[in-house]
Amino acid sequence: MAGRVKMEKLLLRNVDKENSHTIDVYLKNGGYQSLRKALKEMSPEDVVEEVKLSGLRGRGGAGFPTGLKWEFAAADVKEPKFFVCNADEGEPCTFKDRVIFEKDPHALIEGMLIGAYATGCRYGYIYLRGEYPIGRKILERAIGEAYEKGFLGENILGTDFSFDLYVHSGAGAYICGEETALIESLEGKRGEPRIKPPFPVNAGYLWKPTVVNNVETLANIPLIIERGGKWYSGIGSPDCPGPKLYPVSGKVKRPGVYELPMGTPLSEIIYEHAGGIVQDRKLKAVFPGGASSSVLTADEIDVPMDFPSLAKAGTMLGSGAIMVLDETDCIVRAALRLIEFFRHESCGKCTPCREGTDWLVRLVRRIEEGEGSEEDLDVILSVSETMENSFCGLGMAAHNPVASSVRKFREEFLTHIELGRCPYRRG
Amino acid sequence: MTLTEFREEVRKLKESNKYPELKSYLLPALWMAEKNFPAITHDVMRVVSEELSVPLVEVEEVARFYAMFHTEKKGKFVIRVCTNLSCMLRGGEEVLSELCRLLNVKPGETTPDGLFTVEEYECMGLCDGAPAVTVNEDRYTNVRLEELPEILRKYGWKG
Amino acid sequence: MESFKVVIDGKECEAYPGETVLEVAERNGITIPVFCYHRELRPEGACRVCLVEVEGAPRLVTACTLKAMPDMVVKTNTERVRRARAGVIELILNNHTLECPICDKSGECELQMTGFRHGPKKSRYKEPRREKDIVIQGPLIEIDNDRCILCRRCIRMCGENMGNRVLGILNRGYRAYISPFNGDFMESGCEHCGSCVDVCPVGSLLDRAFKYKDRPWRMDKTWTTCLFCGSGCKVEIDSYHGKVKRAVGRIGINDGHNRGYLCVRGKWGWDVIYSDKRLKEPLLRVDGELRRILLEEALKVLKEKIEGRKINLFLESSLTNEELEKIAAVFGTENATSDSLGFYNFLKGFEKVKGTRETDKFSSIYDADAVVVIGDFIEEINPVVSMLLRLAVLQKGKRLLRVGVFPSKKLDSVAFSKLLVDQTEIIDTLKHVILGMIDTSYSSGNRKIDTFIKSLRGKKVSFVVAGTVFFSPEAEEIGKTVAYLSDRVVGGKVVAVPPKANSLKVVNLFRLKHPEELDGDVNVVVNGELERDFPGVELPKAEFTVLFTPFYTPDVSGADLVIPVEVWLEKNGTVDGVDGKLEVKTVLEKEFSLLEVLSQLPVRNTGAESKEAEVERVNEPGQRLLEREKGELLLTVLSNRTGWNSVSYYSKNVAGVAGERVLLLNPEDAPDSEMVKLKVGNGELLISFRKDSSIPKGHAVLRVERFTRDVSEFLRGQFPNLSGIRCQIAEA
Repeated sequence: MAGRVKMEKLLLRNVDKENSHTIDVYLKNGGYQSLRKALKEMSPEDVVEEVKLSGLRGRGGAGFPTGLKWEFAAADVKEPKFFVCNADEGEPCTFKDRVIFEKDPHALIEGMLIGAYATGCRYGYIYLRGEYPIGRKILERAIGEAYEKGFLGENILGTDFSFDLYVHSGAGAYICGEETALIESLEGKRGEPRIKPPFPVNAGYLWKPTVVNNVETLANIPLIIERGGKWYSGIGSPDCPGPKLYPVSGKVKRPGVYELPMGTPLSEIIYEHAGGIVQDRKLKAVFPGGASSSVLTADEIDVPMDFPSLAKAGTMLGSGAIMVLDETDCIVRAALRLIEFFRHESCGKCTPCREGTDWLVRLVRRIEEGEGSEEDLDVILSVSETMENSFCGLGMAAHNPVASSVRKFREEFLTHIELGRCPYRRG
Repeated sequence: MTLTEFREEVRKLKESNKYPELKSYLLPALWMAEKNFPAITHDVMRVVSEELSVPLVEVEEVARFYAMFHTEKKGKFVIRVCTNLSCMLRGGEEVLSELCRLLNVKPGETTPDGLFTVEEYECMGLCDGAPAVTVNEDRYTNVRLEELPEILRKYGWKG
Repeated sequence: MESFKVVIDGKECEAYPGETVLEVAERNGITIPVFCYHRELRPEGACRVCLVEVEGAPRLVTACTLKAMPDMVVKTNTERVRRARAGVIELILNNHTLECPICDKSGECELQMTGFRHGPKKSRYKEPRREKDIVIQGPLIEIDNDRCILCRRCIRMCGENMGNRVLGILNRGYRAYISPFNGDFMESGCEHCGSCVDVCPVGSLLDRAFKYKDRPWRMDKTWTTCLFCGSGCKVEIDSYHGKVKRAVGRIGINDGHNRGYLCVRGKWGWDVIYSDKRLKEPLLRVDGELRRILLEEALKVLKEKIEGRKINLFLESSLTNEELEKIAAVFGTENATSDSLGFYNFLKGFEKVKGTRETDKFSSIYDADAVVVIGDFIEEINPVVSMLLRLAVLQKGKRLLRVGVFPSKKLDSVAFSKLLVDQTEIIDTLKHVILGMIDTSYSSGNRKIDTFIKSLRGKKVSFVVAGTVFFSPEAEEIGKTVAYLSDRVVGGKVVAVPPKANSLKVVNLFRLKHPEELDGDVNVVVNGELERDFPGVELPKAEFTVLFTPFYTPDVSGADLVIPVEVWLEKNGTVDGVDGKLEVKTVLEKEFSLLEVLSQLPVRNTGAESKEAEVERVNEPGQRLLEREKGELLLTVLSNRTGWNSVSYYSKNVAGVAGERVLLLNPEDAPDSEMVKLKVGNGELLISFRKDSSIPKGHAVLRVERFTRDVSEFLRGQFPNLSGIRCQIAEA
């Protein structure tokens, strides 16, 4: 398996360098050469083809083929078009994008420039989550540098291509990671998802064609242009290739972001890269793809970390954020905390998400506090089923951590109910 | 900042030509208010509404939608303690209760001297440094309970 | 349009491109439950109760947002669908306050009906009910957020359909609730059209005038036509034991041309019938004083006084056809004037060019591609007409073009093109358009006009003339110009929106004169108020003055005989409205009836009175008449929406949201003082003003809630003009 091969650092190639966020360091390490190549040697169609060839799939969570998205946007004739980077990294336990734009912001800017060139976009926005003020300063500084060096603005590198880029700060709303909600927020509205279709590529910001790509996705672009889509498609899992950033947190010895080929087994990431479980305790459960993924038990962690494999295992890759619980952690408590998060972040537009998250919080809290009954578990599963019919992905997935915990750790829920208290409660 | 100065700042913001239509300046304008006023009051919203030609209620809708905007008076320093899963597993809740004990407030409350507002907050993307705390724009990771007084003193805590 | 087949629940249904599955199902008699969907609103897809199963789709889909596609196979009643639906309804009901016994909506509540039919059989909810306890009270509307199901119909109605965006949603998730800015309807600029209340599926948005007043299932429901203006809106009047409880539009169900949309007057002005200013008995002047008399006595006096005398007839134009015909029979048609004189002038001009004064029904605009709207302040005078024009763009994709003087909040945001010009240039501007329609190579030298012309070419065009046009000194000339223009476009239908409910009948039945030309012996004023309907006009010297009026108007003190009559809510009959013959119906008892009184009067020999003199035909557009000298402004005196037809004066409901009396001036025309002295001819008015940059330079708008004596005197000699009046302002 390709995943076993020790891989050179690609996405994180610059992050350990001193002052990696400055344009000088970036240029010294071959930065903006891909942009030069794209602009001078390739037509926009060539760029789209190269990205399609690479097989790159969006790293935001849905895994949509990036080349295809660009092709749709390029085909739309409405003007102006907008290129938006989704840097609203709000999924709990996800901090991979932060590493890129804080440590290597020019890779992101270069990726956006190439994407904008390929799709014919004139203006760009980086929708940055409000909780990243440091990232904002770094990005604004980097954008300033890029303007100074002529990588942004009018007639970039002496070509006809012009592109202006701005940072737009969110203000604390997880839902804005959903691309249409992000666009609404960019338009100065409540971040609530829109009906799809039409999709943003045809009717996005101000109902103009808008490409929305995740930070990590865009950081791949300079690599693909530099070394070719064919090379890229050889990394990792064949049907969703490339390097992948896996943020690991929770009860591991070395929490952090690990760059590994797509499809690296979950167990390898936890035990080899993240150093195993703290105090060498037993692993209890893993949320393998962020807070909205279904939980995996200790028996299920040999799964390759890619879109199809995790889907087959009944969960999802999502943002690739791995959250590890050990034997001393209460799964009911964990599920409660996650569903509380989704209740807080539900925009309130649709019934299943708005009401379902609240009901689940109340049900799980009652169980955690020892006031639950066995029928509550059936109600939880039934409410989860209703939530599948939510308006957007937030509601469709919000119940996953709770429902999967009930399914896989039913005994532990029953123990709470029988004891009338949480067996893990300290004190 | 006075409301008149704020209005001037919003006008400058509009001149930046960052967005092709006025309404898109709403979040930046509210950010400016968030940073310069103890609260985004209805008076502030009225200014934003006039300057950006956005109906009043749409300004209030947006100000009340986003978790980082305060429409009620906040302290000079907003301390956000993450208690989402990764931080919870590593003691985030204990950090929160210790902070509340030190400052003698409940989560969401502001100290009587108007210096600190303590908020239980959702994930801030600092999970590799759990438990994490931010004070306005400064961030603190791998926070231990015993270092909390020291952190607070940096911001003028006299306790 | 090419139709195609869709299979819903095994039934082959015909569908058209762009239609949603829900619309196709509805048309084919297949019921899919809905909450957030409303046929007058843009689909939201938020409540998730209209979920259906689509062959080939892994998830259930909301029928309200799903576009029908050829050969789509849809199932609306499978076990999976029923379970999902019940699940959603269960979620809505969990925290819904169960106060049906005291809720005004009970009995016509969509949640009640859909809940019973499609909801879960029993509740599994063990948690304490979540209470928001946020009740927002406006003057006429109340929002009880614990009853709200957050379907957002109200917000879409208010923000999109009405273009007003008073209501919004505050907070997010399960804590979200509906409110105007700062909980204040008035500051938010609510027009109180009541459409939010109408479309609320539950008892969250309440009509405060109806709160706790009665139950929907036991009231008498009578469809009638609102006669407060010329929009001719069909409205349901609900009463119990002969007492009116509320007016309801029933948006989306109402089959009138207004489709259930109402304005503040139609929705809340019904309580004029209970006004404490209602006249309860006839009055006769005896020895200089008015004394109460019996109706029989009044009739006797009336017969005596009018016998053999020539009548000066002052007609207000909200009367029914039957009443007007009777009036014509007993008082004659030749020596009459009316508040519709300006409208009459417009049609006279129109007739001179067209050879007929017949204009088209409002619904004819839906056959056109482009609708040219000529006139200003339609949203004040005929509010619902302005809403319908806006919706013609939003819902039916019509191209709306405006010719006028002042910006319009309702229409400009949806207008394809607009020519807002100085009031003196209206006719010349229209003439450019005429030339552009005749000669495809014509250039006016003005890019805006040329663009306007271009957007009409090859399009089927209808014209809507409304608002202040009929109160302009140029009304007749504009009539000629519009008639001439309409003959030079494809389609060319012309809708003249009457200012008052039955202006059309009045101008067709009576040969209207200017009040100064009246030469009779006895004044008869029917339904009118001089200051309001004939500002600046004094009753001619006469032997005797008779007043037919529902209210104690200021004119009562000058009358010799006053006979009470009913208001329109107490009438049966018809009117010739903007969309054809409209029915006026009631179940209310009344003490006095104009028609009955008139029936007891002798019919005059009307045979001598010719129906209509031949008008001289012309074959050219009208001529510009308006001029303005340096230092002069063109004044428009405008009744506020609430004050039109004195509704806010007699209706307590509407009085609560009445507008202000203020002069609006362009900042550049405004003096430094706080007050100004406004001069028109010999008239003067001292008034406070506000700078308003939406008022074009060289124009002034005097907004009044009521035409009081000072305003009327100030306008001496101007009748029938209320717009385009040359005036001067001086600091005061």
